[in-house]
Amino acid sequence: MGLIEAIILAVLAASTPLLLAATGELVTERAGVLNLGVEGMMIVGAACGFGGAWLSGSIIVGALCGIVAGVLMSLIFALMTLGLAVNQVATGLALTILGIGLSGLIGSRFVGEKISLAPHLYVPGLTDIPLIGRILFGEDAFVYLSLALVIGVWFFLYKTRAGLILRAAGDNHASAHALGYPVLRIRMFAVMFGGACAGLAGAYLPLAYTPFFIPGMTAGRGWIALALVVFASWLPGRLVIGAYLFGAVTILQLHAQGWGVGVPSQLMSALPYLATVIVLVLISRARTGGSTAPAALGTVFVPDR
Amino acid sequence: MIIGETPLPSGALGVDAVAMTMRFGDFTALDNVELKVRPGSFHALLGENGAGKSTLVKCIMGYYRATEGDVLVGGREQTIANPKEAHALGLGMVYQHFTLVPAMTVAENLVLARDDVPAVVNWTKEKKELDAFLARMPFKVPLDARVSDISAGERQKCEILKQLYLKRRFLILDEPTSVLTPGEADEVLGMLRAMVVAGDLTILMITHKFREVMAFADDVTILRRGKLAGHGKVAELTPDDMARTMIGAEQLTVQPPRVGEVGEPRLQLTKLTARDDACAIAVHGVSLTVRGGEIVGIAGVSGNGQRQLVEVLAGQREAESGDIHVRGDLYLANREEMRRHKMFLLPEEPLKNACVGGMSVADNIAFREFDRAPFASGGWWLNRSAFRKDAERKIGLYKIKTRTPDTPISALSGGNVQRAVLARELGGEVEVLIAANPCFGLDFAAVAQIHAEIMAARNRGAAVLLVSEDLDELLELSDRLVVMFHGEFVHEARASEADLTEIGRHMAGH
Repeated sequence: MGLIEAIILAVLAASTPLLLAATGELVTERAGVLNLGVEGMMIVGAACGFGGAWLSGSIIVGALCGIVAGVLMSLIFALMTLGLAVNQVATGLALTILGIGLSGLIGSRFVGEKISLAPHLYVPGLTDIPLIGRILFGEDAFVYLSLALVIGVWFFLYKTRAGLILRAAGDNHASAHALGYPVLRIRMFAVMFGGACAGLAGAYLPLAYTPFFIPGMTAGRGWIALALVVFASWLPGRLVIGAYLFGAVTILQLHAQGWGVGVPSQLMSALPYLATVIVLVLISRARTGGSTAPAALGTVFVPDR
Repeated sequence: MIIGETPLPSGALGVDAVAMTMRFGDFTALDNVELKVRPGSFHALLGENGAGKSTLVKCIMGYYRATEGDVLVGGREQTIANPKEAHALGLGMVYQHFTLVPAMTVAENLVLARDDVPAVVNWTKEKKELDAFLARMPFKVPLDARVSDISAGERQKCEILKQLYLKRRFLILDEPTSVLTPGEADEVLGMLRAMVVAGDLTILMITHKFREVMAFADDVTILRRGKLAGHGKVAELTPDDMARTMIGAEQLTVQPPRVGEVGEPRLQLTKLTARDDACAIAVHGVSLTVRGGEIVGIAGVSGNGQRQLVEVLAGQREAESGDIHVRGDLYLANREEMRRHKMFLLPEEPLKNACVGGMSVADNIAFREFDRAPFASGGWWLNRSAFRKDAERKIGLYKIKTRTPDTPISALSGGNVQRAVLARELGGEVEVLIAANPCFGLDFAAVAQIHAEIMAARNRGAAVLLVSEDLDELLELSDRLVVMFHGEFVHEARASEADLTEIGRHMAGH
């Protein structure tokens, strides 16, 4: 296996949790809700996902546990911000802090345990093609699922009635309400979808990336996913590019350390986060073309009746 | 619909409200009101702010459940529990504020409004149907344009088209022309009038513009303080009759006559440029001189840079380039300079831009002078009783209706908030006054008082810059009129010689 091939495989693996979490957050934000609790939902998803897989011995059960945990976390957020009209930023931050604590509690008995990672696809003939075979036909199921999810979200947002209504709720909730659409219910489903995706993204880490659970193993990936949504200017297509770009930065800094580039390793480790900051600054400076933020993003909606 | 029942008549629908009463707790918003809109007629609903017009139509549309009274649609009694049921009967409403989703295209907005769109939208088919629908309509709108990119006039047409697309046969329009130029208003209302005459549609229009009532409406119903004040055929009434019925016996402040000579240049803008929140150029190199003893009016459809211009003058926004001079001195819009130059402001939405809602009326009135003698000693020790005494005097002088000077200002009605701001800004000597939509949404009594105060300030020698979306107000008060379009001053005229059609043309950018 060549070095390039190894790097690309590593990039895809590192990008997948970012893509999963960001896809969920994109739908949530398109409905007008800013859930800053992605990191929290992810880490709880990771703890529950690993627990489920370790206890049952099944990766699928583990992934489902991660999804359910993410949805339950997002329901706390939905109850606070949609039901009680609490500020979304504050609730999202609190959700992250809660998630980090909760995952430590849930995961404490699994620390030090080990499972076997999710199997990779093997198609005789295709997977054996040199260079591209492993990359295209030798990934784990999560990689394919994440790409299918992005396509599904794109189709949903632009080609279905429900997607049209969801975008309307995110851009002008008063209009959507006046047209008779249940804004809060739409937003609740969007938040739950975001939670499911974040939970799955979290579960991906111990199920397919590193075969064990350690507290804090999401290591800020939830925050990067949030930045990715802005980077993609709320368009699903750009999300894929963004996620793989960030995945590449993450992997390259590891390799750069290995090659002995004369930069302190701490600085290299900070590279993905630094890139996040720079991207956010650049995007806020040059807001031209394409889609911009949903107009009602982060605003609380209280129906007048 | 119950099987066996005869269906509603096709074509225009008539709607009657019988003995409508609506109470919110102790407050009676509607008291035994009667409204009779004949099928195939253009009916105007007149009344001051708070007269109950909106409450009445919201009861008809099912937003509120009337405490007492019935709604008859097509002559048959109907219980309308929510807007969806009203829509099913063929009743529709165009709101004062746009309900289109700005980030979506016109076509997406139209399809969004329909109840029976399939789960997966076939856009090719929908577009074809929309094109066929538009071909039958008197208005044209660009289907693929984003709503945020089209003009206010086109948006209003979209709102109306949306209702027609949904096959509504009774349409309620809530102040539909408030965002349009006079030319656009006439075009839209004229086309609707034609549909009414053709028998396809009945229209109930909430308005306060007598000109439109006289030109387009068949019948009129007038409300005052939640009660039916009068109704009749427009042809048999004059605007004066209607105004008297609307206001009742209330005494309005008499506006002082225009006196005095135009003096020295007071406020000078030189090539002023400013950006809006999205970093686009909103004010583009405007120059203007306002002299003492003159009111310069700035006309324009909202969103053409007026707001940003006023914000620059108020110090709420930084200018990109250009200078402001007051009496020849460079002016940087901070509090000290405003005080030195006796420059005062009546910004739009006073509760948001000129007040702190949670603080008392007395505190809000004291904002300009609170750290000066006699309100403070040494610039930091506040003398609360001086605040209160000054506030009590001004509350009486400016007829501010508040329970006590200590009531939070957000508890006051819009007219009284603006009166309190007026008391603060015009209570002393004024050399420069900037006013932006000072009467927006206020009742007759407040409007008359504010107009009188602005005119009095002018007569005392103040230089007044009046930015307004209400052309009638500008024509009444201004000495000179400037039209603002896309951030530039495109036309100037003496108000006494101004030609409404020409101004309308410039407002629309032609």
